[in-house]
Amino acid sequence: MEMSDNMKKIMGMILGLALLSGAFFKVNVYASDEPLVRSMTDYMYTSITVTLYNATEEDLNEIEKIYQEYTIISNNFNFKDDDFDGVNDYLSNPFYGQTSIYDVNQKAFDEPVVVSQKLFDLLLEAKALYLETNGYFDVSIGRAVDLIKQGITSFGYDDMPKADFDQLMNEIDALGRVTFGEVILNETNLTVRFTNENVKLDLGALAKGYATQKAVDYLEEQGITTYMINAGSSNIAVGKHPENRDWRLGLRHPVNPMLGLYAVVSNTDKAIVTSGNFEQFFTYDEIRYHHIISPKDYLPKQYYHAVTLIGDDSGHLDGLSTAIFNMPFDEAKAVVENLGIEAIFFMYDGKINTMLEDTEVELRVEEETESRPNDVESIAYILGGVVIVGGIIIVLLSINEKKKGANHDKEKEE
Amino acid sequence: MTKKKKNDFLLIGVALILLGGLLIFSIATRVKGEIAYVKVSNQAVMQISLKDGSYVANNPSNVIVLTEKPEIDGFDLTTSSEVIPLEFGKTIVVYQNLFYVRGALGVVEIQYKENKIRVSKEKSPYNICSRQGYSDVAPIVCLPNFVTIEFSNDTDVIIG
Repeated sequence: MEMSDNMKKIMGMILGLALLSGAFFKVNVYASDEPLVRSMTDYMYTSITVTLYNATEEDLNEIEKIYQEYTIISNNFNFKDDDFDGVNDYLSNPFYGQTSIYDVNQKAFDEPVVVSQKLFDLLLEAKALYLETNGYFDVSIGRAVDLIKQGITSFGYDDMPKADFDQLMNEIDALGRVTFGEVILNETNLTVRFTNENVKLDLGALAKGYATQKAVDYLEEQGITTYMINAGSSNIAVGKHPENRDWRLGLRHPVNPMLGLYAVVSNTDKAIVTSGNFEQFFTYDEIRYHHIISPKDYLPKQYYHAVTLIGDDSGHLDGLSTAIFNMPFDEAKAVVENLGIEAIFFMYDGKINTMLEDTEVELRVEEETESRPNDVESIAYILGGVVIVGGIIIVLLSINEKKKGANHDKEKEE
Repeated sequence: MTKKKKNDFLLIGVALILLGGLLIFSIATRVKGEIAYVKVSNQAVMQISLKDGSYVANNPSNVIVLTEKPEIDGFDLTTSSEVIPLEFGKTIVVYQNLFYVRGALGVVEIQYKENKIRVSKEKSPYNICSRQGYSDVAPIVCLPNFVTIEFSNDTDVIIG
């Protein structure tokens, strides 16, 4: 009887120890079914990775087609003249030849330009965002965007010399002011017309997210629920996670990428869009001149280093994140509240403001990542040592007790 | 009864010694420092220990170990005797502390040195990831190549 009791105890302890040891070893869990993955470099001027579970190659093909088509129709470069480092191969795109934003920009001041239903709908979305954000989102300022981007291309990540900076500011000042109000969209004829010759449409702040939303719509139609689309790291759309948990998305530190992630957000079935000033910028007088410029004065704003929006529509959020980047925080808060979306603001002064509902966030910005692992290690060693010493003391005490007991028994017998 | 109690104490003591031993053993045998997870298209293909540069390849990666430093030639590696084509997301080539994977634009060379990792060679328009230099905390993101190096495996994707 006593033996079996002890056996039970020993078994229980071994089980307990096994469970405890699980906490000290990292256990990697792999999904049971392998995902279908396609990485694409030829579309939307970025890199797109589509990861699907319980889907077919045909689904990947359909999604690739969506990106192919929106790449062509939203293009505003003359790709016959421009060299894109061989990254974007337009000529092999099956939609090559469709009317694009480039074609619209060439002719729309002279005459109405007929576009496809898809391009027209994309422009309607741009108009809706223009109205909704009180003009903070405006795709008609392509000429100003071009000037800033030229500066970024020439002086990326570096200080711009004063002479070049002054010249750039003069060129921006000299630009004729335009608004999307000077873009006439005719729904019956599917035509676009400019009433100001300085309008140049640039859909760079919308097309990628819009196409991603079209891909998500396709997946929903097909009943594919488990997926992740990563469009250039700035537009992410997630469905369910294959391990039946939330997706965990790491947000890079926008001021100094060497600091790692500043936050991790967790959610499912969401679009997550980030606008930041850290991928494309030059500096002048210690201010970052980045690629997002305000339609109000054609200059990049210094309210935030990064704005991450979480919601349901990737296209809508893509435009909104650009608009919000141009807004002072009070106005941005009001927009986020009114639209019922979620947001994380990495402010220009380094503070982090969150407006979240069902998305969980872990902020990591104050962690001292350098010293942390060593601290944990030494604490574990000390704890282990203390536990062993405690165990030895108890064993010694109990052996001592036994001896005493035995002596006592002997005495009694005597 | 008293005998049973004494046995209980003995067992608890033994259990504590075992627990403490396990705790120390697990910490001591754990790969020290952090681990670099090399991912291609968000799938981890290999892990490199920042302690000593040792590596573990994940299935279905196939690993080729070279005894001579290869040259990068587009999507292939060449040595004095052979041309080694790399399969995207599958092939890992190792020469001493250098690791090679195929990115979307060409071969990406990853270097381990003194508890840190960097991308030492890659083809991309702005070379953002090779300019980042050595890291042991900040993820290295070679966006156009779909190659990322992360130092914790607790996120699915990196934004920004």
